[in-house]
Amino acid sequence: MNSDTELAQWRRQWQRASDARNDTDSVEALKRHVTRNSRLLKIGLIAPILVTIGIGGAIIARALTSAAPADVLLATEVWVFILVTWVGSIWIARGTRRPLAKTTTAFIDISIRRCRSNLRAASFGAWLYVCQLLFVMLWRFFSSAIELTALLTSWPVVLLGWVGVPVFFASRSWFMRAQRAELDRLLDLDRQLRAGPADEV
Amino acid sequence: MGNRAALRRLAGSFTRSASDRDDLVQEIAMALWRALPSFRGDCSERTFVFRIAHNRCITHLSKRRVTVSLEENEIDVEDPNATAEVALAEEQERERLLAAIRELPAIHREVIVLALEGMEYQEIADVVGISESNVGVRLNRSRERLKKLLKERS
Repeated sequence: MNSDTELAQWRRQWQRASDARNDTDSVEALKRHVTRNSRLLKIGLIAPILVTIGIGGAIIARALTSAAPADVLLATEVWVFILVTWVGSIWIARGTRRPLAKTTTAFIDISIRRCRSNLRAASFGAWLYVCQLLFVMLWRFFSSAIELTALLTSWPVVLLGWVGVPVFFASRSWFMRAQRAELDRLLDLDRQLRAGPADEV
Repeated sequence: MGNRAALRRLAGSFTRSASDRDDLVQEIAMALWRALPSFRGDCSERTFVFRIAHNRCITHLSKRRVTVSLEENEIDVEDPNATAEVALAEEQERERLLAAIRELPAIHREVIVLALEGMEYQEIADVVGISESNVGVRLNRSRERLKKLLKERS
């Protein structure tokens, strides 16, 4: 059998595989998937802005109404935190939002950048979480003259510190492991695809 | 979605089960939906659709280790008039072909699958992002590997 006949035969076999039976179901599933994902995308874009306005606005309102130095200090720190978070996030995500890669290697390159960016974001987020938690605890300790034991057993510290820190770091560790594994596979794919025919075995 | 059957076949060559393939087809649909506004008509619609789908399939390989699982293969037989024996034999042949394609390295799989969809060298070159002559070299090597794998499986 010559190679053209062989390819034509494979092509026939390949193209006869069909899933006509599930057409209606899968179109409906696709529509549901696209609708759900577009909703999630919108939420993902709007949520950080709403959180910034909500928390930042509430903290400023509190500082303005009480005019207490401790509240002004808290408002200042929270806005510094918000600014650092936004600037840091945008900085880390730079170069990962190109709309459409024209070639596979370019697409993989963006995927690699996204993976690396996610890894950096996970570390950045961990530092932010710890710094903010420590600041709020110190602020509460000095602003309300609370006893250390009472502070450490208060429900916000129990929730965000004793429970929140292990949960946060466990999920961060799981996320980073998954991202590293994905990054390794992407780098491997990138090597394979860039190798070109001359380098193949 | 005129290319849907072809996209399902493409996704099927990068996944190991019907449910994985359906998930990947949904990912492709989502990627197409997002990318459509950027389509400027500088290539054919088929090339554009396949480029997006192909990129999604390639990165799907990075999400998990894709191994071959013949037991989970699901290909539906199209011709309802064929006799049971012929249909079974054809299905087995298709399964063998699909399993062999799934075993190919990504660099070979990407060109052979597009060639099996009936794409010309120029179209494959546009989708994959390599030169036409490179497509020819890769396709020849992919065919050799595929033939070898099919022999091992017969």
